[in-house]
Amino acid sequence: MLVFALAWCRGKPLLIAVPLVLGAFIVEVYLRLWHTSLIWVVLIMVLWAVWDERESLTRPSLQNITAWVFALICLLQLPWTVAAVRFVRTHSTCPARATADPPDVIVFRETTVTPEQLSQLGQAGYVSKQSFCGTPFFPNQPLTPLCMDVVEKQ
Amino acid sequence: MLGQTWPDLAVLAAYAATLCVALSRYLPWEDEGRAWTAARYFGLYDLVFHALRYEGHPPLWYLILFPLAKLHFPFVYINLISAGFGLAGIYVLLRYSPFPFYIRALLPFGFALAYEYAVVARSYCLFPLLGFLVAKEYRSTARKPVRMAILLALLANLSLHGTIVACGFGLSYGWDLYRERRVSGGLKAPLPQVRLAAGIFATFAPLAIG
Repeated sequence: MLVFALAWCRGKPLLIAVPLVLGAFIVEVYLRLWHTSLIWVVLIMVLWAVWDERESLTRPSLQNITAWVFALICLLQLPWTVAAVRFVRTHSTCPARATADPPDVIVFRETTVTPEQLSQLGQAGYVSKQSFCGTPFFPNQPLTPLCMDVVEKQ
Repeated sequence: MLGQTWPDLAVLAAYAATLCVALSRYLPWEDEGRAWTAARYFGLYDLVFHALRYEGHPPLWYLILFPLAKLHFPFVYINLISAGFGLAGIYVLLRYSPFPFYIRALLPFGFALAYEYAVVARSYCLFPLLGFLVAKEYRSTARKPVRMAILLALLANLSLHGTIVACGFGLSYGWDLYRERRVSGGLKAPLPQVRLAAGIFATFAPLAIG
């Protein structure tokens, strides 16, 4: 809201619409964390675009309050970053497991596996977990859906 | 090189060190591999006009991966590319942003910029770099509409989110140019350049939606 107010005060009302439309699109189409963070980058872009360097850094003003809030949000993100890096370190694949081990999960395209192979997977202890068909993103592009199956070892 | 201060250089070095620590043991997600696999196994035409329709993404990221995947570079290069773009984005932030130092020092270490769009190799890793370059160009008093149009066209071909942001910033930039013309009686940028810029954006941005 502070960024929006700042953009409005600086006579850049169109820039306010950018994060709003992006947010609406993300909510409507595919709400995932790695998409919502794009709004953060866009807010940095908008703040960058409307920033006035001539303004004093110490005087309480809308610009400075916005900057302080940004700094606070950055500080709040730091433990998150540390946790992500720590997770990467602790859940590493180094050293790799023996490659002779059968995989726990197998993903395959439906049309490439025969019923006989499927029954062999069943005998080996694999159970179908999920089946899905990826369709083209845009409805005006008629393409054959790509159907995948996921089996998991019990 | 940074043109600012040594502390900026220290921030950039600390950011690079963070990426190195994370990348040394990083396990890629499935969709990172899918982009690499698509770039490796499809021809250029099939990749852009057929395979990407299943992905729901514009072609820029795949075109960047295409030559490396075709040359059989190891898969780990995808994360090196991603980290390189992340580092370049932070360089632009530290070098050109008008923010005070405490903001410049904190922004790179947020979850999005330090991990999500640098370590994880999705197309969004280019978003901060292109976004910051667009913001820099938007603020510039010396109007360079052709350069802006190229940046916006690249951003538009990054992801559909980038397309939305590029259209929004493009409209606002165009509106500013129009207002300058009305107020001062003439554009700061020559009219042919503005027409060329509009042409570039109108030609390449639609690639994003197939």
